[in-house]
Amino acid sequence: MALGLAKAISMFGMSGRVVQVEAEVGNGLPGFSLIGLPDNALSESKERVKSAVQNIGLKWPQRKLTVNLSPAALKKFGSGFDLAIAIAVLATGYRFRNFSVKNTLFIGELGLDGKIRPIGGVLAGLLEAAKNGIKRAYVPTDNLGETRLIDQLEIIPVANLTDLVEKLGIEVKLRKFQSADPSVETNAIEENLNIELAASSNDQRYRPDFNEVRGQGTLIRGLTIAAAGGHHVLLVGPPGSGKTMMAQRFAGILPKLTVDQALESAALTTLTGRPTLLATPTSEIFDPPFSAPHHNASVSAMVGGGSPIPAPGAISLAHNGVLFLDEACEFQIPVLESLRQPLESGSVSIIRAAGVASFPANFQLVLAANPCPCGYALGGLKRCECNHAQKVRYRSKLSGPLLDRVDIRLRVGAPGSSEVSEGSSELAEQVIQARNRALSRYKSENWTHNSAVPGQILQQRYPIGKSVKLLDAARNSGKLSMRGFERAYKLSWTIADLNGHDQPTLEDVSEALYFRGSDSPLDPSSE
Amino acid sequence: MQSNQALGRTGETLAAEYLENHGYAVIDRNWHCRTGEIDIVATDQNYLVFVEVKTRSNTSFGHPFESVTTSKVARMRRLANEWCLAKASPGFRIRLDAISVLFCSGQVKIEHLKAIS
Repeated sequence: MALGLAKAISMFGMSGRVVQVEAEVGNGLPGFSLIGLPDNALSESKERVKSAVQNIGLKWPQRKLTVNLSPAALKKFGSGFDLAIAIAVLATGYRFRNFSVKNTLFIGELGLDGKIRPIGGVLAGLLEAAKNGIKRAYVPTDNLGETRLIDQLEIIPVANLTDLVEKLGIEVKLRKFQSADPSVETNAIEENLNIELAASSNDQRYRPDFNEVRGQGTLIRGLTIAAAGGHHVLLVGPPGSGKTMMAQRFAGILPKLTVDQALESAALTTLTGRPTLLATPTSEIFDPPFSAPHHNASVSAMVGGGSPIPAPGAISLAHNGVLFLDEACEFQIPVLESLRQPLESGSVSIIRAAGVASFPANFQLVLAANPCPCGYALGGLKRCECNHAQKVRYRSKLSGPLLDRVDIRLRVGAPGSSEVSEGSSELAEQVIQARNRALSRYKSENWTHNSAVPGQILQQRYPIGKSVKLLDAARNSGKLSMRGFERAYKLSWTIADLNGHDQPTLEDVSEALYFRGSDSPLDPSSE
Repeated sequence: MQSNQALGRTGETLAAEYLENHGYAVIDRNWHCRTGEIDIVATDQNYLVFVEVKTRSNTSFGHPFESVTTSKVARMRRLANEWCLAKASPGFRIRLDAISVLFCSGQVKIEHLKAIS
């Protein structure tokens, strides 16, 4: 009886568990059983691994072979276990000189000729593996791009099984690897593993910029405030008034991601199963993500879903960035309502029979909407043709609870003048200044911006002084709800931060009240 | 075809010698009945061992053991039963074994798998 061991990782959502692959050669007739709850793709691993091992010229044990994936009660999915199974099986008959089972991980799918193919979710898997004490990981060369982002463990790229067993120090001489596919380069592995882990300033790519916008000063001011305080925004206006144009430029004035945030966002992207997406990471990964799902999106597409392993949805792809819902009133109501819980908690849990997958979803929401089906209820180039019932039905798509969470409601009109706005880089600088002010105020806590501070605590610890009477008056006259009061309070602080004031002044508070707007922003009769 | 049968015969003879050398007593060879044939019947202390011998001149059709499938093992079990009925053998415990005889580059390689079921 001979035993071989190797480690792989089983992912479910963003959380992973290290799986011990045990191979045992028993004294029975040749056969191969793979146990430990594999799914279909994983069960087929038997055939791939056997062919690959034989095709690179190594011996396959001609005995009863049992491979167990432990913990046996955990369901395992996908083809990423191939490498670990191959190494566990080979370890029953061969000796490897430099292989310590304990903290070495194998990720990758095998081709029948022994080529190692890329799989999705490698970055997410490696981050989890590092947390579980893995020190070294062998990954497919084609996944190398995304793995360059992490430095918590040693990454060794492998192009084919021959390459892998040689790196592990197998004690037999192997012939040169021959791929069945002549287009495959067999030995071109770039050894340059260093990537500049900082946002470079001499980035020449085109990004939409606010200096291309004319005469929307108020609107741009509103968006700057939103970026500075992390407030959600609603833009209402007639068709063609530039709502979409504004929203696309919004992500450009948000602060760049930190290394940890960039890693987290990149890991989420790899979980969508697009392994080549990050083939050559650039400083682009430090741009806050911008996710703009079309309004026919389903609930699963929005919050994440799919079977058997849930994949992150649009809100998680917008994590640390912007979720832009254009034509917000055209979305299905359940889709819009599904945003409420993630807006509060900053994460979403997707429950499936196989388990619960949690994805982070800490995004900044930007909604753009027409006020009515024809779009001209608030004025514009044409007269509105919608009847009252149509307007009410349209408005009711954006429910009170959802709108309550949107701090800034802006009405977009025709451009007031032809004055060109400040450029995105200047605005971004203002945003950073304002955020730094907020950070130094909350330095004992871990709130990074005003909207993250619980309302009660903000009012107790950071009172806004005499200017609060303006907010009190608005509340007493019924213009602000209790929550509206709290939100305007946060906005006041953000505006004070932007204006460089140590405490919100009367002007700051009145500006906050202006940008808070009405509680039924789509209704032309409410001003 | 003739040469394959001859190869099989040679393999069975080599397997029987191998068993004798390892302390087995071969008591029957190529026993037939309607169900099929048992290659070798031998005793090993208080075991009655039924042996399937597979002989190959190369492994291009796979290892000899790979052709011993579960249905063949099931048939061996039925054959063992019929052998016992025909040649009463009280006091023995039954075991099914497989022996592979591989002729490769002038050498003979014999492998013996015990208790395969």
